Amino acid sequence: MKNNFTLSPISLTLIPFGIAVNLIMGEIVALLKIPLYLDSVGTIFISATCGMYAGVLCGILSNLLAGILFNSTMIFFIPVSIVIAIFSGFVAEKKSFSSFPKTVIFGLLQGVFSAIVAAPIAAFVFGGITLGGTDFVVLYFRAMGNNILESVFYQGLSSDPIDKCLSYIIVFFILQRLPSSFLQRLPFFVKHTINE
Amino acid sequence: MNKKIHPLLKIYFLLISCGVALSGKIEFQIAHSIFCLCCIIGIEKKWDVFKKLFTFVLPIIALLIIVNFFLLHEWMFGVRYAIRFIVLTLPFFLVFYSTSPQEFMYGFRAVKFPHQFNYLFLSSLEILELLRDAFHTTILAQQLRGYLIEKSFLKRWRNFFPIFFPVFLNILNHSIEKSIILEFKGITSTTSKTYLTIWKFSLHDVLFFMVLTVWIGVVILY
Repeated sequence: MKNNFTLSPISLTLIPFGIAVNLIMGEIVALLKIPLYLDSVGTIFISATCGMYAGVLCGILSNLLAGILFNSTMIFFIPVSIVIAIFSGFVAEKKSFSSFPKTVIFGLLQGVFSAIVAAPIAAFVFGGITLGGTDFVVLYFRAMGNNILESVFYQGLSSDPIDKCLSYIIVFFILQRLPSSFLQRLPFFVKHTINE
Repeated sequence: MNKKIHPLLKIYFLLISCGVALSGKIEFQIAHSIFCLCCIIGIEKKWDVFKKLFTFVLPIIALLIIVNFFLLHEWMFGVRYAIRFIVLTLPFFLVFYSTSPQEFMYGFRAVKFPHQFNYLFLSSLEILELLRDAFHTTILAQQLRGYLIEKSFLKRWRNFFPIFFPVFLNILNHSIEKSIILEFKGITSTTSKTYLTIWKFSLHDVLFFMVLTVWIGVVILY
């Protein structure tokens, strides 16, 4: 019997790496007291180097493991990770990770899309409270008279574009500084970014 | 091994729990939560879960109820979402604390799940520990070089890169070496593999499946 699910060996080893980066990012950010999540750097990096499907796998498994190991609410945000992976895969296919201004613009756009997808989940499943630092921003918007969905969406719009833009910038700098001997091993990256 | 519930049925149980939580019927949600608690106490005897419960679930419930009652004057809103949160959280504790990653892999093999996905799942757990070790070593090394963590926001943000990049490159090298090993082992082979252990469905798994299906049917219909 044939098995149709195939990934290259380098993608197979990079996806767990991306998942671990997503999960460890929370620890680095907490240690340096930076008021951001930066929990999708791994997913964006995998989408940019191994393609959209590898990125989607990385995003799904990241949220699954984060849910098991740290915070079970993360499991319900799998659709957000999928959107991030698909969009960053699309950005990589358009060769936008080779230009800094394009990276910034697409990072901001990514933030808006993430906020749109995350808002209904956070509002309808958890009532806007997910035990994160941003819960107080949601409460602030609710106290101003907005309903739950609006409050969560405004909170997302106030933090996600900055967070995703910085994640995109970090991936941009990583890709600029990685040795070409390594990048040549990634068929997707060679096809969409190097051969311009 | 067959005395335990099949891991795929446990995942089905999680999906049923999500259905119960999103149904919005409090009486069914309370019944489901009590069932999960009884399982945790009686069958699995996982007392660690209660430690986790006190440190993670209770603060969020307290926050939901207190904030909604005092700030927004909506008492039932807080209670409703607190119960929904319990129903969504307890089954995850029950399933993932009672099943090892290896057991999940045995279960996935029973439905001929791609072995590459199984590798990804196990490898992620392994590499996470490696990355955490690399992170702590890098932190110590960079502190010795004078990159202090307790400074102003801009300096802390500038310190992010000397900590992040060495960790990143360290594990990236590890991944490249591993990909060469995997290539030699023929992981990309598309022919089916044989396994020593495959967890098959037993009679009590079928019964449990039927009970769960009837339960979600009752929740939806009433």
